[in-house]
Amino acid sequence: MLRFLLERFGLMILMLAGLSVIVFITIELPPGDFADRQAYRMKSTGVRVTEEDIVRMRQQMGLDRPWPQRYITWIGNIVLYGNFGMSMSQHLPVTQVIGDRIGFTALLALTALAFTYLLAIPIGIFSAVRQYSIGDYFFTFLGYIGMATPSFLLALVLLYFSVMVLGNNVGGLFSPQYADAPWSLEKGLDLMNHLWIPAIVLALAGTAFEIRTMRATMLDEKNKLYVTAARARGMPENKLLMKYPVRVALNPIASTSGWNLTAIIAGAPLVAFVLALPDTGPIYLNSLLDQDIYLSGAMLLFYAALTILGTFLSDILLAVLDPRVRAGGQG
Amino acid sequence: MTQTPLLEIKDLHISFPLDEGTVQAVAGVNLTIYPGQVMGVVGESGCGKSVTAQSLLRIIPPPGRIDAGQILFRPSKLFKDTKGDGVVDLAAFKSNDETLRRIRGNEIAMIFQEPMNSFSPVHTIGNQLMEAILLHQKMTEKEARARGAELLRLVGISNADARMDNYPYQFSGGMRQRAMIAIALSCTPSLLVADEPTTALDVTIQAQILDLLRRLQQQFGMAIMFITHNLGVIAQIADHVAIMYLGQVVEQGPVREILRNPKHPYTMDLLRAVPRLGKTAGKRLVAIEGGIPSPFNRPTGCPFHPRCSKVIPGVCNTHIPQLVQLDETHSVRCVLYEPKVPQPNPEPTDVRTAPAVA
Amino acid sequence: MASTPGVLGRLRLFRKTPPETKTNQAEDTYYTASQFQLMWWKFRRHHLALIGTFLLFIFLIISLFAEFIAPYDPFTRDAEYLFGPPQRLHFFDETGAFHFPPFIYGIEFAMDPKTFLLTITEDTSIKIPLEFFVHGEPYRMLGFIQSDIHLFGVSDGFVHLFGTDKLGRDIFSRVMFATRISLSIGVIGLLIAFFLGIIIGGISGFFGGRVDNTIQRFIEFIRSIPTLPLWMALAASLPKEWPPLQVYFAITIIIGLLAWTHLARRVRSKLLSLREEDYVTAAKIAGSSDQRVIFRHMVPSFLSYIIVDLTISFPYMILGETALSFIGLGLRPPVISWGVMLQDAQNVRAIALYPWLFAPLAFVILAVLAFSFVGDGMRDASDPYSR
Repeated sequence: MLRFLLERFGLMILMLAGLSVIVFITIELPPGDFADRQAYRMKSTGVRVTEEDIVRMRQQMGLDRPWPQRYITWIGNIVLYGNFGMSMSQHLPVTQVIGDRIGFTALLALTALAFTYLLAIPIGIFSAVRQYSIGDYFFTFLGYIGMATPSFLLALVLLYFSVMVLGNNVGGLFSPQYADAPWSLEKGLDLMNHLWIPAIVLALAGTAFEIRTMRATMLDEKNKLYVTAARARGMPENKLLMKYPVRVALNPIASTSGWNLTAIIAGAPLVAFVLALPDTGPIYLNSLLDQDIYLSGAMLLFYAALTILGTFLSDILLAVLDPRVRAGGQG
Repeated sequence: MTQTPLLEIKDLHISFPLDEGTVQAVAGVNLTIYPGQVMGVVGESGCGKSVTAQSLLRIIPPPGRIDAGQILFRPSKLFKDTKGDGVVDLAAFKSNDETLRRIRGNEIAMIFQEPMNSFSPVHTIGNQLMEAILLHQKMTEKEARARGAELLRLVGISNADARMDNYPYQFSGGMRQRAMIAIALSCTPSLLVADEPTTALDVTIQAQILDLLRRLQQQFGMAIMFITHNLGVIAQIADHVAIMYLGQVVEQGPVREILRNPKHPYTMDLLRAVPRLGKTAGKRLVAIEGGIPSPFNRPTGCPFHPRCSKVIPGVCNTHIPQLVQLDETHSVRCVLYEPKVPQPNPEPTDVRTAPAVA
Repeated sequence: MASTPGVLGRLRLFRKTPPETKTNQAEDTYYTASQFQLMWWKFRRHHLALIGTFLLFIFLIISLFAEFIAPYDPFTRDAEYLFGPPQRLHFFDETGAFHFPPFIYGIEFAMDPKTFLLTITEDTSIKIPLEFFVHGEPYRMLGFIQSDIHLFGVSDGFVHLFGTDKLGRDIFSRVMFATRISLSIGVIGLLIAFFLGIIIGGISGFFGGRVDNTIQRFIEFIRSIPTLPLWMALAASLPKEWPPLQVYFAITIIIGLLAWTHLARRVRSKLLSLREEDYVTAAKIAGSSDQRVIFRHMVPSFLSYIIVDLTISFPYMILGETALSFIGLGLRPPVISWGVMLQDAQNVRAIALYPWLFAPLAFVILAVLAFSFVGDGMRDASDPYSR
């Protein structure tokens, strides 16, 4: 088990390193750099900018060095000092710009993940046990809709519903009176009140997918010989179901939880944008549009790191659930 | 025989309604097993022997259903109060009936063909063994564990205490079958149903498992319904044997009698297909002509007639043979032994329009 | 066997063949049916898949004949009808008389005296009948068929079945054209994914060993990157001054680039397992060349799986493009896709005041559903021998 963990941990570090390179290349891709854009912006506001000014700006920001060198500096600062560089559009350290917002994104992702499993597991069991019942058809239909509806549409519809029917404004994560207030119980409750819409939106696709996985595995396992064998030794039907097919069906669910988290993270910026959440989504979008490379790089790295961490955790979860996986790590 | 039967299967019919048609898996099986008797059930694959076995515990896979017949069982420990004579009809229960559940594993236990698949891969062997014990016996977990380890030792697994915490993938096929037997014996059932327990194993392991079963049978004194397609195995373990073909018992009797003096043409063919030391050397083994007919489409009359070497045209394809009692224990279902041989139908019915046997 | 056989023949009949009945014949058909037939029979039982097929057929027709089906050019403006709601088709007039073809009522503008908002209502005094195969704006269908006949239209003024956008452009017409673009992105993206998947998966499965291991780790790595943020980053890196058509191809490639991993895995695992199959060994022993073994025996047996996978991943392409374009990082006007059209509907105001702006979303959802249904039906059917 220990060896399995170490192996997976090593793999995680390796993947993080690989990802950081990809992230850096991706954000370096756009032709023209921040200095060009800055100059363009200054020009459009009537400021005279000469070629020399641009070159100086570039030097100041270190944009004139070759990219591997810049990569080393960048990643070195991150690893050694936790310094993600300066946001060039906001003239603030990146950590300061995204610092407290990262917490919201992580909270949102975890809430969505919790929603996914709280909904998918019982519904999946129900659908498998009552195969071809009205409920099964209903959830299958809902699953298809969940898969087919773009998350931003669902966000808009829920927002509309919430504004029109419930009468509260659920854009953002806080009501106006709490936005700048210090943390308190009321503020926490207010946050919960706002969190459910983005969480449900982000959870929907994953839930639809996991219901199908759970149902299919359950149906598969239900007729396996070991279940029959347990029935033949007098196990009551309900206990039988929970102890064997449900338990075994949890394995694929656990092993996909990493991808699920990836999907949730992937959808987060868009939903955050539509719902105007004060998390990382809108910042990411703007930093991309501004070519604020250190900011967007840090964000992309954060998103990627979160998914890799998720994969690592799901590996561990799977190892806990499945003895064969544990053994595979030893041998 | 004056002894009271442990199990009496009477005219059992089981069918599987599928999209492509209805499969009549069991079509009128009659079988009696006495306490402590080892009854071998032999037949080719698809003859309904496994389905018959599964019907005892009512674990026929869906969409199979019992259409008619009775499975009368006399529990030895429980239900002394049931209907005076203590006989229950297993076929009459709903498949989730509580009484039935208490019979499963406790009065009738079962071991399966595939030891590889008969354990949950994510639970320990001990867990599944203790489950069987705790379901039917009042014990603490600790006692159940001790009893489980004792059972594992009994079936010949060394280092049993540590083995309790192993997962099935850490067991070999033979060991899993031993563990399966341990589970089956955990509540000392009066009937053990063994559905081809040695088929999936190596020959040497097969012999060990058979030895084990025979030893345990003598020790515990339970009856065994032993299902196999291998006559050699039957000769080793069974007292009685029932030969099945297409959902019917075609011949039944003491194992020596059947092996030495078979009456039904199918039994004769089967025996001729078995290689025997010294006797068949240098000779060709005789295969039974043709294959088992399509399950959707049972032959009319005697189900064996399309392959039978002694077929009487005009009789076998129209007349359903009756069970003939040759002596006290030996019975056969073939027109050759019926006291009143029906006359051949002078103008045999065109088989294509003949009504199918239901 | 219809003619009366002799006694001998009849005896033979009893010995060898089981009696033939109706079920037996049906069964014979079953056992001798070709693989394609079996698949079709199974697919046919999947009702949703049939509905999906029908929808896809309609989408195909729309994509091919958008110019003909759309009453107007996507950029034609009805300057008097900005943010106009959809006009309803009426089959019955106020007296209850039936009309075919249906008609629309004229429009009436009114200024709300309090809010000064312009409201648009139906003017029931004017009936404008819908006409079929009318002459309208000239077009070149798919660039070469020149015509000016449209499926429907009105002789006087405009008809807006799905309403109009902020510039008074007909949403119905725009959706028709957007369908073509959005689906074409999916198709091209799939082709890219298909080739990458086949080649990389093929290499991985064919060589096995260390090559396979490396490629598998690489695929795992790619899959752990959250797609949409990466798409966004890549899409944002496209130069602003690129012409829309170039952006279109770039976006297609970006979307296709990240979708091949699933397919590559499938191809690899199929190849690996097929190498061990008896019939492949048999073909090799029989002296078939490698090429023949691969193309005659191996490819047909997993082609169906690949087609299924392609069908199932189609929705992700559509949703990906829609999402990118929606936030303004994807396609750019004047190229119209479903996502581009939805840029107008980014906020709650739109859903409250101009819900018809969401018409393209109905198409997105229908397309995704159609592909999912067909994909599921094909997945069930692709293994025709399982019951």
